[in-house]
Amino acid sequence: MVSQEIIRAFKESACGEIDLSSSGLNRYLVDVPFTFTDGDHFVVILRQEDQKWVLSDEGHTFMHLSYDLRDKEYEKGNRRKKIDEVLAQYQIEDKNGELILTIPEGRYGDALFTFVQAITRITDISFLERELVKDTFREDFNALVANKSKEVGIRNVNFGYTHPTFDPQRKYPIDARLNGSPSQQIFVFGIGNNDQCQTATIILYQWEKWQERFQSIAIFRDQTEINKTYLARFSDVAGRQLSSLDSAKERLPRYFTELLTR
Amino acid sequence: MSAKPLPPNWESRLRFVRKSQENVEQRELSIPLSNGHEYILFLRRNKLSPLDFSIGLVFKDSDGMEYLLRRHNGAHPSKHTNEYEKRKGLPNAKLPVCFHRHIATERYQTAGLRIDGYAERANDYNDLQGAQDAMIHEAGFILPRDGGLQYRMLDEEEEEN
Repeated sequence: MVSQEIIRAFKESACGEIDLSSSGLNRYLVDVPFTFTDGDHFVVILRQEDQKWVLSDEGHTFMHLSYDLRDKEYEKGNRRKKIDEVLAQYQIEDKNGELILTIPEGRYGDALFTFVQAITRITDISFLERELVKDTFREDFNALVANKSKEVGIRNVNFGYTHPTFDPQRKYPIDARLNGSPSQQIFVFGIGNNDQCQTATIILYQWEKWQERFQSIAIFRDQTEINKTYLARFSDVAGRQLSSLDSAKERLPRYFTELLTR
Repeated sequence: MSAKPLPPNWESRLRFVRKSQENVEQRELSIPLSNGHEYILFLRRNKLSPLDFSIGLVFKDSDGMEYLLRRHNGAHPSKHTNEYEKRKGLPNAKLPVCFHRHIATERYQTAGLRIDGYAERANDYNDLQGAQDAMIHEAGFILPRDGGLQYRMLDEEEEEN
């Protein structure tokens, strides 16, 4: 008997945390106890679309993410990849930033918990440290350069290469140096953010100052993210530029071959 | 509270630029101080839900760390819970759907909660413009004198990125 009372009290308490209030024609606000880290509750709207009932966040989840990830960091890179994974897993549609889940016939409870769970997981993405997210770019860059070099028969690839004579303190490292011959060396830089763009600019200037002969290629994580002024300075000293890892995958082997046959 | 001098064109720089594909409109204004610190004023507006907007003030420390000091929110269609007050059994733990402002507090920081987790009902605005006016008034912003450049602005090109 006691256990039945506990079960009943538990259910009443849990169910009492969820409420529904009418807000327009065939539209209801679903009040849930689940919150973002700042205490604002998730937005869950139940509404009818055509003949179906759907749950929607009316774009609030991504808007909330934008408070912390202000440079639209949730729209690209690893964060976006993880968001897409969550959406696919829970069969939620992203309609220009509005999250929508179509409720299977009569399964309101299942749908609500699925929807809330997805929002929770998306919200957690804001906790991914910026550097952690971007660090995968470095790994991806290294793997790409190593693989594509191998494809075109370049065996000698050094990551973090520094000048053996002029730079004993290793202050001006090249992200990847291809081909051991000083007369035919190719420097490849991976540029994930503004700081890395500035650093690469300085390094290239320094190697020019040492009167080294080299060809250079820059691969950006997302070139559109780079500050225009920094990019202009970099372009003054850099050779070929690839705007993203995706474009590099396609073009890098051809670039390597062309530069080596110059 | 640090004085935050606004540049002459601050309003136009915060004006939303409509992009048809985006449901969340975003604008930001950087306000660098002579001591190396920086404040960022940001605006957000949800095109799908007209009352869902936010204007926030971020303090960016010289080490790059950012702290959201206050946020004037619209009446997004969900409630708010003040977690600290809830734990303490205090009466102002719950806010209904309403215009509200988040304010960074030491008690939230000390309790390991998000520093801007405390919110209170806002009775002094009911739209984005009003929320912005309240922010300018309350957060130590200094409006520019007519025609006078109040501070050395960052390179425009740099800020657009």
